[in-house]
Amino acid sequence: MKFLCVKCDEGMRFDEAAGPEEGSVSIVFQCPSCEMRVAMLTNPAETQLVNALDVQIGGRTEPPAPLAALRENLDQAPLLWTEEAEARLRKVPGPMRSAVRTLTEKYASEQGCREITGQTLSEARQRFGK
Amino acid sequence: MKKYSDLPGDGGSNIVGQVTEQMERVQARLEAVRRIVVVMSGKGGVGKSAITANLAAALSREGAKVGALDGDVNGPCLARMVGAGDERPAVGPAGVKPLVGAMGVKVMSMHSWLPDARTPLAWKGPAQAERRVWQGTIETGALRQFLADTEWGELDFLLVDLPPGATQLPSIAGLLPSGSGVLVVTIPSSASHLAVGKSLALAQQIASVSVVGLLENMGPYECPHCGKMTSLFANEHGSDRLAADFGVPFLGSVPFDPRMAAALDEGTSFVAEYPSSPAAAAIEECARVLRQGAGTQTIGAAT
Repeated sequence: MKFLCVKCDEGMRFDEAAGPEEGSVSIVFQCPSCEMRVAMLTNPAETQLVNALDVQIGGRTEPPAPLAALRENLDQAPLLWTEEAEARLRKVPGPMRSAVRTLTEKYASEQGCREITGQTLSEARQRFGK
Repeated sequence: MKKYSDLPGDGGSNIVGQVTEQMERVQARLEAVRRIVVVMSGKGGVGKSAITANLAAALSREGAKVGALDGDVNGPCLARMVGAGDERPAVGPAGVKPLVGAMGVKVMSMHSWLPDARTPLAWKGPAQAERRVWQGTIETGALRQFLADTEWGELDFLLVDLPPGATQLPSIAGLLPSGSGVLVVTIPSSASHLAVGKSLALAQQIASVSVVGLLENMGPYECPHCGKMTSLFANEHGSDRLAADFGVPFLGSVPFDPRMAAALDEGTSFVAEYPSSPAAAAIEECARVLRQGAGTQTIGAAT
């Protein structure tokens, strides 16, 4: 999208984006000549459409994590284990492994984690005394 | 007053730049894949996923490194069919590890991202009443992420199993390298030919893909008692003639074999368990065509 300052017949420059808040994103553009600022306000469907594109208005400072958009948008995304956490779990004796996995996932869910890392395992171990 | 094209750049939103970067990530990930084949049909229930799973197994049996992407995000079943079951993928620094099924086939499926087998795919966010506006975009984005963020590694073949209908083909073709192949599956029924003909026409209109051919599934059925071969469908215009109508190779007919469905339900390899069956022979013949590269262009790193 581009914004034109009609008074100056100049392209406006992206200034900032805020939100979403109540399903709306505010995207501010400013004229480099007269410094007039305009905000475009999206409705929830427009917000969701931009979300579906997996882009950030104004650009990203770092690349997204693997499958980040998918996991963010799924209604019930499962907890994922990192390779490090899986490797540590494999060191747990077989008969106990399933219980450790279940308790760790319980702890991670309570903490609102999306990934189970080695740190998560350690914290869960402290919590459940294993 | 200036027009859109008069203003340099993209206005600062950097949406175009990010979309370009997304495509570059897909291309970079697929550089190590020699051949990509999209398995599609215009009709549901013809056995696309069964064909994909069995082709993957047949290719893998001969030593090829094979990956399978389940493109049916709403009805995912490929993970179970290739024997990867209900495991969860692990996240690594470079991407998400695909599950590995029977015969060493790597697979990525939405099935692995749903809480359980009964939970349907659902997206959260505002504007649920306006799903028609954004649902297609978010689901195509899911396929893009599966392509770009799965650690496929070096593959000889990546098979992409599409959902029923032809509408996904243009979207997925836009994500894949030019020269990817399309294998169209039909069953020997008039209704299937009516829908599949449209898919063949559409595939031929997309310049970036090459139609490998038409494969007929659920062809003749051999009675296990008397051995008599019977057709399950009455259709005077054979699938080979449908292929000829569109000038595409006819890749043969896979006989109906209930043992194939049983193997797929168990996640075992039908072609490995029943190699001398007519159905396995037909699958192997199709795999032979894919190995020869008919209709596809070699892309990425040579092995």
